[in-house]
Amino acid sequence: MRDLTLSEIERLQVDAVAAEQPFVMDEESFRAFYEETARPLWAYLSRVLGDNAMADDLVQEAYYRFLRAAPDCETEAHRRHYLFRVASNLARDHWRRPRPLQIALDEAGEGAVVDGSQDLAADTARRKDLGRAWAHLSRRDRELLWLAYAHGSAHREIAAALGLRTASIKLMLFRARKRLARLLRQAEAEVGQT
Amino acid sequence: MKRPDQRECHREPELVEAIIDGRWPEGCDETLRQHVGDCAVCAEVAEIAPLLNGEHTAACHEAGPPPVGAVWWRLEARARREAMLRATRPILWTQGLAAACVVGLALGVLPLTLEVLGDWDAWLYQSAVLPEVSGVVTSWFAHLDHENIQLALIGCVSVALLIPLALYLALSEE
Repeated sequence: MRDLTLSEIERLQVDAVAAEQPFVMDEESFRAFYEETARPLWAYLSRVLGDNAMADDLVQEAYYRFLRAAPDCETEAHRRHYLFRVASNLARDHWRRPRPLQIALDEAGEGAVVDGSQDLAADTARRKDLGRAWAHLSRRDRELLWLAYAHGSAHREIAAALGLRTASIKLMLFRARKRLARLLRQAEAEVGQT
Repeated sequence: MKRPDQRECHREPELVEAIIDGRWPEGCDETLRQHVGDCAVCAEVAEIAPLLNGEHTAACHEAGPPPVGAVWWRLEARARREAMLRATRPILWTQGLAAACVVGLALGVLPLTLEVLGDWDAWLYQSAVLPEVSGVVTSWFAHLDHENIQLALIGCVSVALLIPLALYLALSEE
């Protein structure tokens, strides 16, 4: 029988350890991290992809890849950016075509039109406009705008989450914001005409 | 003064923070409100950010992430399964190689086997090494003609080769 080389023994030992304790992060730390990030991560994937079912699938995949990669993060913020970077890569891999937002308009929002509650009706209308405008944006624009204005991330954080240079973010975000503003005005104009 | 080609404004982070904290516009100081009125970038941000922030809040309410315990258990089980597969992959490769060698060897000696089998039934009739067995076998074989005997022997050899292969395939699935 062939003798095992040292590297093979080392690899088998590493695999055995991996089978015993598969992740560097322990369960307690993961719990805290998951509780903090699961909802924003789902929101991000759902709105970037425009597909809630796919967001459900990709959230778990993102956590799995994050845990497997065991990034050496100094702070919680780094850890969160790394997770969003994994999610962004998954979104890129699963991006099919631009889709509108799957806006779940709540009953209050729909009923407001009937009840005459102006604020809620206006809010519902604005969300519909956003849904229509969002459908015309590219995946990259959606990611940038969501991270900048829904999360409130700084340019440096957006760059870390998307794997881009911080210097590029300024121009890309400017263009994406211009596009969305124009599309929103178009959507409003279309509604006004009808 | 508004400049449409202006790309950024130093007060944008302040405005975004106020919007996300829910302080915009009433909870902000007058200077910021006045600035938004004068700055093209901030005016656009003030138009877009509240919408996206509202959508973020709605999406977070809408999200129903599975319980963390179940997720952890699933991810851990998947990682263990993959680690186990990685660890046993060399063994599976070796087993596969061994099976391929057996099949190759069997195919290699098949012509020789068939040649021997051609005379084997005659040897069986004349055999004096194991008279009792030979008697039983020859009486059984007496009912078969020459071609059927050859077919039966080929069948036996094939089964003898296929059983280990089938066992290997069944066990390797585990």
